[in-house]
Amino acid sequence: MSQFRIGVDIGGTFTDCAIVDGDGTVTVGKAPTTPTDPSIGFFNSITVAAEKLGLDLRSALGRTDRLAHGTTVGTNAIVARQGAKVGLITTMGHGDTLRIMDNGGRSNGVSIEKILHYPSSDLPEPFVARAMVREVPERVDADGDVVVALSDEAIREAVEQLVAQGAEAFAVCYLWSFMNNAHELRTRELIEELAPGTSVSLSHEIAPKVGEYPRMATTVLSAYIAPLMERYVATIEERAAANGYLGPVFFMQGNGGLATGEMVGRMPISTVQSGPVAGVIGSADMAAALQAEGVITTDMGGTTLDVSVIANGRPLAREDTIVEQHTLFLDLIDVRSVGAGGGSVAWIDESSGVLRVGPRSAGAVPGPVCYGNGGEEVTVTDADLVLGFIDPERFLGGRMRLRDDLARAAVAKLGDRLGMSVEECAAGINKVIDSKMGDLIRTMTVQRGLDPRKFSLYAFGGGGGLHGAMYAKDLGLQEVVVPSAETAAVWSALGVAVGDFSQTFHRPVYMTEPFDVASLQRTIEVLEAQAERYKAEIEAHVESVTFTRSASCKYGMQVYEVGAQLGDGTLDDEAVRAMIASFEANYARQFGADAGYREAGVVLTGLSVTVEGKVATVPRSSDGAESSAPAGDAERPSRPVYWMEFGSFAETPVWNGELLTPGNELTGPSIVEYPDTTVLVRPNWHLRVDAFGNLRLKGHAHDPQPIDADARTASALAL
Amino acid sequence: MGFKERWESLRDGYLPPEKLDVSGVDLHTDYEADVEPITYEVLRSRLWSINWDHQDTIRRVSGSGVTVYADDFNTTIATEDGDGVVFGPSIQFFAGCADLAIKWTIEHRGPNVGIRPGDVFIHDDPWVGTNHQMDTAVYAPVFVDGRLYCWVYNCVHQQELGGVEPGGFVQQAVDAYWEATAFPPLKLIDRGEWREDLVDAWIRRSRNPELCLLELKSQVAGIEFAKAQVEAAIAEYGAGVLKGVMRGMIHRTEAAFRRRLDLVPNGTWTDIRYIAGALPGDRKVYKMALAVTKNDEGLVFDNAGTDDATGSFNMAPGVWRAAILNAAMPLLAYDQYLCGAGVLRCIQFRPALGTITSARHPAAVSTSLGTTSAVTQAQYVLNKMMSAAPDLRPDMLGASALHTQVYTQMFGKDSKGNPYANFPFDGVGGGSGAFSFRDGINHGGGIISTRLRIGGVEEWERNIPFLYLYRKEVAGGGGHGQWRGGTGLASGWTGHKTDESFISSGGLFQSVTHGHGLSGGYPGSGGSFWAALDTDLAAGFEEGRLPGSPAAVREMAPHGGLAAAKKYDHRLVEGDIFEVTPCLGAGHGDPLKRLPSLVVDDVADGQLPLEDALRVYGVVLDGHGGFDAEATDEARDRVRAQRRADDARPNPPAASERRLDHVSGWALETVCVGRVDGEPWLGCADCQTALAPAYSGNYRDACCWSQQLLEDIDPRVFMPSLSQTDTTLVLRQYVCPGCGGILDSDVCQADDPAYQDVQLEPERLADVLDGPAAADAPSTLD
Repeated sequence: MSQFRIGVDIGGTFTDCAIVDGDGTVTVGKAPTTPTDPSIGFFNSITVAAEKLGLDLRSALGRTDRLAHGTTVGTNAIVARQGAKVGLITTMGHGDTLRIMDNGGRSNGVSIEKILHYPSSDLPEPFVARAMVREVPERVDADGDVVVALSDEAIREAVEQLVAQGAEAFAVCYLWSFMNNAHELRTRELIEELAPGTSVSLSHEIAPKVGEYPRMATTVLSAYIAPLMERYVATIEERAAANGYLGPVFFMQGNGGLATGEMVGRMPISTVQSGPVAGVIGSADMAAALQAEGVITTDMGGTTLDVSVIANGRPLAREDTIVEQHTLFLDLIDVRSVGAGGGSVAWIDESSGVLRVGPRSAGAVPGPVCYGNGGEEVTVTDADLVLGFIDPERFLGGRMRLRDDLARAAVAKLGDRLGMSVEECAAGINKVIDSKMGDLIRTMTVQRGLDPRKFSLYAFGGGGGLHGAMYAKDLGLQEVVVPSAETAAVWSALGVAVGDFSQTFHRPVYMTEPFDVASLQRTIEVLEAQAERYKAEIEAHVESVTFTRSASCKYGMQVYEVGAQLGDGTLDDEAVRAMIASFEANYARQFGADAGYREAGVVLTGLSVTVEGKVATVPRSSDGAESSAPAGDAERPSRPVYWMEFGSFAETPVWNGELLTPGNELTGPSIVEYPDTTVLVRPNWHLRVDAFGNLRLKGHAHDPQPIDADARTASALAL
Repeated sequence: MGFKERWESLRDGYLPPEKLDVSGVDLHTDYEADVEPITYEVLRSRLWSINWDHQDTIRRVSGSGVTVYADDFNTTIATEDGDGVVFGPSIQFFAGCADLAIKWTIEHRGPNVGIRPGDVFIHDDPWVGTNHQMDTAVYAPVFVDGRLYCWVYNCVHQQELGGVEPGGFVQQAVDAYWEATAFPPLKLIDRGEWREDLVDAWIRRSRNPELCLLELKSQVAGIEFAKAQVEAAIAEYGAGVLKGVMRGMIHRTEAAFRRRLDLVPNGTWTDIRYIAGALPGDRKVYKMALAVTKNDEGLVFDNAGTDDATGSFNMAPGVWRAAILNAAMPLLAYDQYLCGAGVLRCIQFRPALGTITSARHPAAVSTSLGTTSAVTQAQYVLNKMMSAAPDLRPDMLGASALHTQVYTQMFGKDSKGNPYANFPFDGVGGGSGAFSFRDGINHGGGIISTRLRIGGVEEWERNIPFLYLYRKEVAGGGGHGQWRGGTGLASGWTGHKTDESFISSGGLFQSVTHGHGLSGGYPGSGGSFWAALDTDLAAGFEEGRLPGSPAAVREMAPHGGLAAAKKYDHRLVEGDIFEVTPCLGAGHGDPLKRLPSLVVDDVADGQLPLEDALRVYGVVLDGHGGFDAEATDEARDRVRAQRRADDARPNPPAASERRLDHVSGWALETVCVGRVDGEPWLGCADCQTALAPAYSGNYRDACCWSQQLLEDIDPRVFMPSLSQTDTTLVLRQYVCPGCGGILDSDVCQADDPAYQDVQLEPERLADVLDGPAAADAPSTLD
């Protein structure tokens, strides 16, 4: 009897479960999310999937050798300001760091529209009240030398006061603690003595990097969600065990790697932003199955489009992010958003009279005009409906009847003001939103020296299949892949189920050439000792473990750092030379061959060791007879659809995606409908269902010329 | 264009003519006049995105903290003739410099040096168009079919280009020869080939030539990136379409700007203020005047009345123009992707040559007065103008960070004994001024840059041999008012592991604040420098004592005091302490109008001393976390009565008892227009007390003048003007004789006459009086 891997992902509305068996067959389950106690939805979703396999929860869990989970509990607590009352202890003179925010709080992670209009912007609400901050005399300098010794007495006083004021968790962040952690460690001892059982987050453990503001913000937010996450993890683990699951539960982190509950307890902030990341991991897994090297994943929801880039099989990462206008040091898969989704509002800028789309969204209430809930502002979904892309009767599998009459009237009104027909206006709204997505993707690739034309696009989300082809075409992308509908719906859960383990251990150094190789070796040994401890925690659950060393370097007088590879074994001059060469190559690729200044020397700013624990790859099931012609009953009645390429409506065949099978092919224009999404096969595009059930779309992506008028007529006639 | 014209422009300052004199290069002027709206919006976003990524490229390659942390640079894409289409959200000031540099280059380099594909130009000449010599512009033409199609441009504050004081802000300069040598436009890259002779010449001036070269490279990397992206957009959409979009953006920005101006009555708003700190030890104060006239054509700016150029704190006329654009864009065109050319089409400039704000070469200009004081003054007069239009009031923003220039250059030897020079940015941090409907943003910065970061303590300590004793929020914060200015920070440093290190007290004299309040709000402090040499810090460190606040260092080093301003070499080695407090935001509206509950919060949050709750805000706290409503009403009445009783003039005029019979418009937020006996008069917007005939009178003369020394506002954040100048300056509040409300204020000498700050255009007053302007606007009259 084969063993299961189970992934569960809790979203805003639904909790998704994917059960993957030893053959790679995926069984999905969906249950409503239960916000007051998310663990209920968690086990319900497994129950639903298990029932499809003829099993109950206990027997399914009994056959499971890995239960993994992606959670937004921490993120939600941060956004809703429902975390713990944190007591913050910091270096004398620096208790206002989170208020001052390096003077950049107003514009941190804020839309450009707000940045340019001062009255619309503000600082974030603080996570720690001023009264909960204590400054204590202690000081370490940039070299790690103690300038002022820590006073136990002052710590005791601070802790006692904070406890008296109701502190539920402690955050400790001293200047330069990552260069000399003695003061922070001693502070924890004292807190544990005075307030046993209270969670303590130390900045040198949570975020060992230069920059006291982001380090403090990361530490405080970690403390803020620590008690909550601890309870949550314990609940999931206890209930899993009570229901017959024997192993540890794993949790997805924002860096795309899994962690044990204990690890999450030590660093709860690592789970932040793991939601979108799980989907990227699922994509990387699929990309590996499809042997695609470069993939851009896009997830188009109601308010935003999330984009990530997978190059050479690895999702691109970043080491900082912005959460609630605070900069955090977090190792993350780089997922960026632009305010462009189905609910993005189309509007006319009164001061210049031109059409704009987004970044504001109509939200769920009142939502697009076509929802008929009183929404009056035209959204991208309304435009999609007017153009015939969406069948008003089948939206959300027919659960909601869309009001195309209202949408049409609203788009017509907007078009009137622009001197455009209703269809031109709707098509225009699409083009504007598609180009915004294109701009973001261009920024994420070209800026890093990556050529988007070498990438495929994986289009997720309700709007992915509708819009993917357009922005792919503008960028000259190879192919658009819309993942098989069934798995797409639980893509993040699947990503959790198939995910690997990963953790990076950093240590800042600041060293100019010539490098002290012996000292670097010592630092590597410290990092690898940490890595070994991590390895011991995960070893039982993985097939193989690898350590990868890397360095961050910059040219002597620069500020920004670029990564470099660092070889295995005892470091020697040769290894250091290779590291420098790797830095220089990476630098030149990103900024151009001449941009660096070698004469200023190379500065080494940090070393890292990344541990990756690979789980056994699940073979992908690829069953199904291959036939190019879809089954006859897959076809639905055709309908007129407005194609920008023709500038007119054309009667367009419509297919039931659930009845398409591997090998089926379609030529555009066609529409493929699923209960939760619609996929457009645009004119001159071609669709094939691959062995995994993914829709693979190819168009004349490399032809920068618009289709000329004659060709337009010809293909219209060919219909 | 010959030598004579060229040299005149380099002496008097270049302002572009209506039509450029173009020879030696063909301009690609074709464009599609009617780009359909969808393509327009797509390409508008694309241009923004290219320009944004251009910034990112520079930021990543540059070695300069000035660039990376403080965003002291900007980028643009300009039309073939130099009109700026889109700017980035960094230092806004450069928007008004880019077009000058490009236009000058077309006129003066086209015929001789030539402008060809693959060329890249560089310049740092303030009289051509850059703030000061350190602000280095690098820009390149983009050609289509052999014709000059457009330009990409960036300007970066290069950290070290020479001059007698390291860093180049030469506080003691009496003329330009003390400062870094300015280069008019040079061809740095000739048809793709770097000119090594010019590279050498450029970096030869620098004390840090390697950093300088790296900065050059970052700028060229940015230019190459932007150029390639623009070329890709041309290839994709066609040159005509893209140019049509550029023209469209300019046109639409102009239209948007004009639509906002249409809400404002025709008239002139004037500011005359004092400025001090022309040279170290110069105890004189000087006048800076600026008037904006709104007429049917747009805006006209005029700086007549400004004192003649003097000392080190001047600016070239083009810089004055750029400062005005800097203020106008975020206030009146914030939603147009910072398209400078569209705004410039609505503005005329009438510089009075030879003055501080329109100086001729070789006046000293390196201390960068333009980006701070001139922007602040332009922001102030535009705000006053906007306050006459109720629909524009929500977009007002009071004087903010850097209104009174403060900065701290450093140099010396680092912990390894190597020479260093750096520029910690704490001085440029600061609060935003208050808005017309809410408090200013603490640490929110100002409109000089929309993203003014200051870098982290650890980042600076890694590069500079000092320790931060503290970086604390200033309690007592921003200017008082119905809405308070945002507060800022104070940073205290001590030298560490160095025996040779210096810091400057750069900028202006902070005792003469430029953070003037609006609509009756109080000023924000201009900041301060404080120092104590040879303290016992080391002994204290041994004993575990760490003075972690301004109060703590004053207590441990009672011998310390205000640091001499504009001194470039205050010693800062172990045991020495130096503190900078940058500017705090200005207030908006009479503080007696502040909600008492907010005053309670201010006190609880440490942002207001208990006694000021009563003295300034007239709020009586109840001692239980609330306020006493009845006692507060009485206290406020007493303050109003006191203001009216205490007129500072020896023979104040009798208080007016006449009232306007209706309100039909505004000259300011606090001063409305109405009629008395059928004649147009100005009066108090709150109580309609008639103050002066609208054509001929100055309402301020009819007000009570309530005056107090600046330091009496709050001695913790305002220093006495006599500490740095020979002039006693007061805050003069113009108080309505009817209701005792503050209508406006000046920072001036006690016996200065009240200059006329607003004059509506007489022949258009009829429009104001009888037009619909007031119909939809809030009015206190029924």
